[in-house]
Order: sequence, then C-alpha cells, then structure tokens
Amino acid sequence: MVFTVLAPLIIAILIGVFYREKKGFWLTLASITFIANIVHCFYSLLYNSLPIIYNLGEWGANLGIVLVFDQVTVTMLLVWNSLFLAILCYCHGESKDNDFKFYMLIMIMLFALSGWAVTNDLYNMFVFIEIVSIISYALVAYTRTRNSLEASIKYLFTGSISSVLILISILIIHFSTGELNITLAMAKFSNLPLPTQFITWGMLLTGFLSKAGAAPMHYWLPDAHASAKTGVSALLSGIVIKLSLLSLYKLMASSDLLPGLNQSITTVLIVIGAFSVILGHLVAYRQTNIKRLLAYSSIAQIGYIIMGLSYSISSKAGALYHTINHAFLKTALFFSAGLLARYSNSLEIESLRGTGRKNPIASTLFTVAALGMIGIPPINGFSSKWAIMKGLLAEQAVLISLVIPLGTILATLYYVKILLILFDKKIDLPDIKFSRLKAIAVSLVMFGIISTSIFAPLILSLFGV
Amino acid sequence: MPGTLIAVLVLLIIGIVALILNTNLFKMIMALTIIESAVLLFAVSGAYIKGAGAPLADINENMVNPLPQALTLTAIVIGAATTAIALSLVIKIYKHTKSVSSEDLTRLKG
Repeated sequence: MVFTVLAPLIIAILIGVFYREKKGFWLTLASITFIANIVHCFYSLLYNSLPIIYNLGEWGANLGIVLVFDQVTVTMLLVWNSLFLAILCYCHGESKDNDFKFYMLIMIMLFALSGWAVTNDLYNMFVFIEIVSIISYALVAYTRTRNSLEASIKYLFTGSISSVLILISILIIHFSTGELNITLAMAKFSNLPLPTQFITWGMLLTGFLSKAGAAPMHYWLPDAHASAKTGVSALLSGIVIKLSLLSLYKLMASSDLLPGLNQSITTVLIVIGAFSVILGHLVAYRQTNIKRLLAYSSIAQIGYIIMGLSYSISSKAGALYHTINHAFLKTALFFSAGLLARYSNSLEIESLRGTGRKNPIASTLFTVAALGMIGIPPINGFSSKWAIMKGLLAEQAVLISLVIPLGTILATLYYVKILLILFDKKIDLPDIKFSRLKAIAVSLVMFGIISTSIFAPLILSLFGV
Repeated sequence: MPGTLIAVLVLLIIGIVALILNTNLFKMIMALTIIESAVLLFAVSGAYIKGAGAPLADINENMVNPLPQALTLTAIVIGAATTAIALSLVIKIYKHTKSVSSEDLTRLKG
C-alpha cells in the first residue's frame, strides 16, 4: 500500500532524470501508475480489512511515524488518482514545448496529497500541506501571464501566513503534550486548560479555513483559480482547497473536545460556512467571466462542507461525500467550460453563446455537472447535500439547515442563466477538432460523476453512517 | 524562557506590522521571513530545559528535547522554498509591470 503513495514521487524523479523524452512517454508512464493505484485502492476497499496501519521503522506510535490506510483515506486516494489521470489527459498537448516541469509538479503534488492522506503525524501533515501549497503557487503562475503572477503572489502571501498559524498551533500542541502522533496528541490535548485549547483551536481554524478559501478570507481564491490554466483550475478547485478542511476533520475526529470548546468550534464553523455559501453564490451571480464564476461557486461549496464538518457524524459523512462529489463536479465544469471557450478564445460568459449546440458532448457534461451543483436528485450533489442537511436537522439546527435550500435556489439562478446562454441559437462558430485525450478526460470525469451518483449509499456507509 | 518568548512576540509584531505597512514586494517577503524566523525561535526555545545540555545521549544525561530542532530544520527548508518561489514571482512581475510595488497589482479585484 505504501507504494501507492511513493509511486508518483518515483515518476517525478524519473521525469527529472530523463526530461528529454517525448511528452507522450510521460503521459503513458503516469497513466499506468494512476491506473495501477486506482485498481489497488479498489482492491483494498473491497477485500482488505481496513484500516491497515504501518509503523515506519518499527518504532512505537509515540516515537515514530505511523501511516494509516482507513476507508476515508483509501477512498480519497482512489478519487485523487482518477482525477489526476483525467487532468493530465486534459492538459496534454496544450503547450508546444516540452513541459516536463508541469508533469513533475503534478506528480509531486499527487505524492504530497497521498502522503498527507495516509500520515498520522502532525508535523508530517504540515510538511505535506506546505508541499501542496508551494506547488499550487507554482502551478498558478505556470502560464506566466501578468494576471496569473499577480494571483499567485496574492495566494502566496495568504497561504504563508496561514501556514505560520498552523505551524505555531502544531508546536503548541507538541510542547504541551509531548506527542506528534495525531491520535495520541489530540487525546492528551483535550485535558489541558481551556485557554490554551481555545487559542490553539482558534489559530488552527483561522489557518485552515483561510487556506480553504472560506468566506472572509476568500479574496485570493477567485483570482488564483481563474488565472491558472483550465486543468490546474480544476485541480485547485476540486482537490487542493479541500485538503485543509480534511485536515480539520482529521484533527477533530481524533480529539475529544470539551463541551464548551466544542460549542464554540461548532458555532464558528456554522457561521463561516453559512456566510461562505451565501456570499459565494451571490457574488458568483454577478460574474461575467466563466472561470471566476466557477471559482466563486467553489467558495459556496466549501461553505457546505464546513457546515457539514461542524455537527454530528451523519453531517460529517455528508461533508466527506460532498468533497468527493464537488471534486468530480467542479472538474467537469472547468473541463467543459474550457472546451466551450475554445470556440471564441474568450472566457466571458457572453462569448459562449450558442457553443452548447455546437459541441453537444461538452455541453452535456456541463449541464449534468451544473445540475449536480444545484442539487437535482439523481446526481451526486443532491445526496451529499441531503446527508449534510439530515445531520443538521438531527441536531435541531433547523434555521441553519435552511441555508442549504437557500443556496440551492441561488445556485439555480446563475447556472440556469449560463445554460440558457449555452443553448442559445447562433450559427457562425468555427469548427474545432479536439484531441482524443480530451474526450478521454471528459468521459473519465463523466464516469466518476455517474458512479458516485449510483453508489451514494455505499460511499456514505464507508464514511460511517 | 519568558525572555525568548518576548523576543518571539517582538519579532512576530515587527513582521506583521512590516507586512501590513509596506507596499514594496521585496520588503513584504522580508517581513514574511521575519515572521517565519519568529516561529522557528519559538520552536527551538520551547524545547529548552533549564540546565540541560545538547541532545547527545552518550555525553549528556540531562538533555533538551531534540525533536523541535529536527522540525526546525524542515521548517527552514520550507521557508526557503517559499521565499525562493516568492522572489522568482517578483522578478517575473517586474518584467511585466516595471515595478515591485504591490499597489501596481490591481488587475484582479479579489
């Protein structure tokens, strides 16, 4: 199982050594790795008794680093590997020169993501989050246009300040408990005096939520996600911003919070989540650039996940399921928007007029994903939002749970607006041939959406409902 | 311990104030580095035990916590990587705008 984590790093090193090879070679090598990882994850989800626990170097949990492969982790590895396969297929052949650096960055990113998922060590978690962040800064600036550089440096300053906060709180946890293992440290940390816990959790929440792009600290997100190239936007919006929320989930799951502290954390998460949902949807409605609109929609979806993380097990499972669904749906939206925008070489929504009729495959993908984002029943977005809402209702948080249908109504407004523009009549569009790899990428994402929709109860049961 | 803690706080405040007040991107990056150094100082000073020696198990019976020193090394590397990427971004931005002021970065509105 450890090889699943290490394989992308090995490929990245190989790319660095043999960088003169053709691009197709890297794509083949990477795809084989991804497919092997996907098969392996499926196999262990079905046949192995999870969690599998590795003690690196045979040290005990209090001295060494422990890797844990549980249901959540393996599912995330599965989803990330399939999305990375789709993203590499989509990005292939977009630039003329040999961009082995791009492949290297992507592979190291996958290594850091998988390493983050399996590690049960606080400092390891921080290091992997930092690797992911640094690579995200580089990927945003990869096109080297003025907008992308500006967005990247904004992202860098915000991200660095949040990492400093996270590092300080990890150090406080280590000094006060003497542990770095998440399970042991968080269990001991719950017995400390309340002021220490309040300060530490406050810094953790600020750091992680601003890295995730939750509402008051969201200003870097639309810039960064709209200025990067389309595949990278899908990667950042679909996977990277969820990472810090998943870390928060990991820390909260292993700590036994005191009632007073638990109450305050829940309140903070609920308020920030609801604020993100409403602000994200409202601002998305006003956007004229399709990628900025999708980025603001990401803020809203982050809000749903934060709200889900706050309460019971049911809503937490819903939040985890929503991270997967949103990863597939947002990737689908970015891919199809990128394909449709090729007809006029502009990302303005108005210039997409009529492209939906010209390219039925991309527009079908866009429609399905948009309906999923809104939350129309057979598609996966509905099941996860419903699970979050059920969890909130079970805790008597009726007023807060009404934010979710409100968000659905707001989302309907702008997605229907775009769909009407897409399927408008317009004749004079140039004929563009897309490469076969783009079709593979689109069908992979479509397959992901369909399978997560069909197996909704199964996935929710994996997360413990 | 309180002495170093005060130093950490002073460094943090200097860094944050410098980050807020400056518009020169180079100075902002320097402020970021100062904040990072404050955290590193916090890590090393937190591991200190009064009267204890260096963490060499054969020589010193009574030694300081060696773990944060290892963590600090990693954090230094991470900080260096972040600074390197920030500086390279500033060079690229200078090629586009002929200025290193953050006030000229107004193309995107957040």
